[in-house]
Amino acid sequence: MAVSEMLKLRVISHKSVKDEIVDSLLRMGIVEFVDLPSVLSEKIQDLSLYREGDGKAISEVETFLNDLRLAIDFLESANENKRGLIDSLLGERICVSRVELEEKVKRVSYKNIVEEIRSIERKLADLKIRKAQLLSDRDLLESWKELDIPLEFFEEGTLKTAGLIGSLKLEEFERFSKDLGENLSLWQMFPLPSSPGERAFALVYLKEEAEKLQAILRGYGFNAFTVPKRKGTPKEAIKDIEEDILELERERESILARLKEYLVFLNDMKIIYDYISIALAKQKATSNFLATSKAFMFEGWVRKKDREKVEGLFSRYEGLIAYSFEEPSFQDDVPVVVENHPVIRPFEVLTSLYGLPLYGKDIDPTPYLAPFFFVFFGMCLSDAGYGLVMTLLITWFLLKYGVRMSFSVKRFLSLLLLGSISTIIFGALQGTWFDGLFDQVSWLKPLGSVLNKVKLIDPLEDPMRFLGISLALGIIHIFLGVVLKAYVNIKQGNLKDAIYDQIGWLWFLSSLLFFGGVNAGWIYISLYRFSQVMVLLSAVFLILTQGRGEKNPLKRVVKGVLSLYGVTGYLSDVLSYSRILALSLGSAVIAMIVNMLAKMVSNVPIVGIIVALVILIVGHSLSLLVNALGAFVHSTRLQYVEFFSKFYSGGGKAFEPFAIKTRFTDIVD
Amino acid sequence: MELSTAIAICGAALAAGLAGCGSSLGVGIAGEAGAGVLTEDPKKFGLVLLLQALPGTQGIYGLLAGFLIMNKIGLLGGQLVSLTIQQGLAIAFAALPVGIVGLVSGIAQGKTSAASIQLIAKRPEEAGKAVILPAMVETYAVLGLLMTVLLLNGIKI
Repeated sequence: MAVSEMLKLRVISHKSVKDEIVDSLLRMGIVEFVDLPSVLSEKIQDLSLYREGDGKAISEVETFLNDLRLAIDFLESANENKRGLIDSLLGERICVSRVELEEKVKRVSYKNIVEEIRSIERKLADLKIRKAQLLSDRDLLESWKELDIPLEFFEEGTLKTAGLIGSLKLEEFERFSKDLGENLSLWQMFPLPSSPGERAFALVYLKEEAEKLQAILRGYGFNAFTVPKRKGTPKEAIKDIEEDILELERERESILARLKEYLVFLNDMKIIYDYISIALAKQKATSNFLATSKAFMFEGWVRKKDREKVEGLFSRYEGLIAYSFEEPSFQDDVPVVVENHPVIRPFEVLTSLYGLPLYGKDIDPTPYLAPFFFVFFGMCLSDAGYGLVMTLLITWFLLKYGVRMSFSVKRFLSLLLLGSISTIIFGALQGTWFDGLFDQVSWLKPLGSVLNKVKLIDPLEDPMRFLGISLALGIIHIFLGVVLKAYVNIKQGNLKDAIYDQIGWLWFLSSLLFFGGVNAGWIYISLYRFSQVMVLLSAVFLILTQGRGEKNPLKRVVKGVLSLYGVTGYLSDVLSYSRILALSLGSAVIAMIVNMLAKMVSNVPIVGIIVALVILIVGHSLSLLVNALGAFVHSTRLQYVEFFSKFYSGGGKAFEPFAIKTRFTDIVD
Repeated sequence: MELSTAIAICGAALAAGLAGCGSSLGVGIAGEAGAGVLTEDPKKFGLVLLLQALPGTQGIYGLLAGFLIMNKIGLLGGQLVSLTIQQGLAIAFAALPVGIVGLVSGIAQGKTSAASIQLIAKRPEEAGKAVILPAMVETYAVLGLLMTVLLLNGIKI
């Protein structure tokens, strides 16, 4: 139910057992290595210790691993028997035993395969570019179809004549042709189709007059086209290009066929990928070890409860190993892991989303936020029908795919599952089952009336009371936050802060509430005087204590008085909980709209019922998605902004033990 | 139909129309940013879509408020309730918070969503935080809706 206690492990041992020890630690997955050079003092560095790692070797392996990864991805995309959506989301895991793994790695010459696949990938990309070029050439020539001049003419011309193709702005064209007539002795123009506002043409002219022509062209915004390097008239060239495209297609097919031959290696490549990445992780971890010629040393973090396991491992190497466990010191950057009861564990999602607790400074907020998130989510979504659907779907999904899911996905789904159970409870209390769908369909009415028996409050009919409940929950939530801060302060020995800040504020806020309650007539009016005195006393208490950092007594009082302004912060925090009412109303009314639309069409004979069913299913699915998202986001926000701000800082570093992490495979012993 | 009913209908139209504008602008802004990120990494589609959808809630709130008004004045089947001019005006005014706040916050939330999409493009592991930031903007749309609902609830017919 809290942040796990950590111990610092320091080990010095003989090199002969290094591999064995590292392997065992990898398999146990309970130690996080510390980057040693950063923690060693200069004194120790004098003792001819050196870092073991070979940076170059590591980066070479990393490059290869990256290539392998790209090859796998590429091969995967060529895989015809596509995997389903769920499979590709969760990733199919390959089960492989340790012995099998070692053998595979020896047998397959994966390096060549990767090279080959990468080269196929490059070839395909090249083909794609060539094809695009051909297609654009063809489109260009298509517009010159009527031109009966071979293309090579525009390249070199004849003995006396030459040609060019290009376009001009429409408004310049007339002036241009006049210019031509006045300056050139012999020329012919062939109009070509062009984009609107332009005039495209082919022009044949005398070679001896080329310079004159250039001079004229310079005076206009002439845009010369690049003529594709082909033989024959445009019509013939198009035929040529089409043959080339077919040729490219054939080439592509054959390359793809060759790629498919590699599909049989896909599984092996995945296995090898994981094998190499484990080896790489090992190398990286040990590269931070320090060593002499005979011995090596490392430091790491272990959970206190795992201490015995580590000692058990080390006892096998008696005489070759020296180690110690130490409590973390004040300036250590201790990695954090939180542990909670299985029922509360899903709520850790929210804690780690915000940032884990700082070791030794924060408490684990998970158990405290859990009940509130549970209630808020249910109240926001507040439709028992939706809750039921979600519960069934998530349960089915967890049962079917749970084994293959990663820990974090499973934890998140469990959180949603708890949320949907809460939705059933609070939906039933508010009497919404698909928003009264059961009351509207005649043969479901009896069911509806049974379900309505547990109904306590309808936010649509009595929004003010529901608002009151929401705000009251908010007040409890915020008070708990302040109490927790007091607890943290007391635990850290800041008793004074706890009394002056938290208890003082709690006193003041509850006096204000009490006073308000008496004024509103909820509490005996005879206590009016008493409540007034309480408010005054607590306000004076705050005025006297809040400025205690100041030396100057006048400043102290001023700061104390100003601190009372903090009450507006609490007020806006409490009002923020009104969103529970708004979201609850939102989901109810959207469901109502869906039902009403369905009802409108259901009167049409025969087709009506079918269309109504479609509207109901699609509409309620959408409404469920939108409202569940809203309920989740806003219940989370209430924890982060209103609750955490009172006592929690977060920003702890997650504990990441050195362990086997695989992408594609599960390694079994 | 009386003038008062028409005024109330104007309120419903403003609520749904203004908030809908806000959402469509916001979702559009976020979508533009999302498309950019997807050209680099199509696998992020799910997350990007989620972030793009966040400024969409204002439109829903507007629709919801419009619907409540229609329900209140009996426009949804049943008899039209006869209103005084004052009541009609009151209903139209009550529709304004959700409409105006929806318009402005929808755009603002769209910008925040777009920024959050950039965030997950660089650091996909921070998706949780990226979702919370646009939700901070949405608070005010929720409050606008709440005000509209409470006001409508307070208008006795």
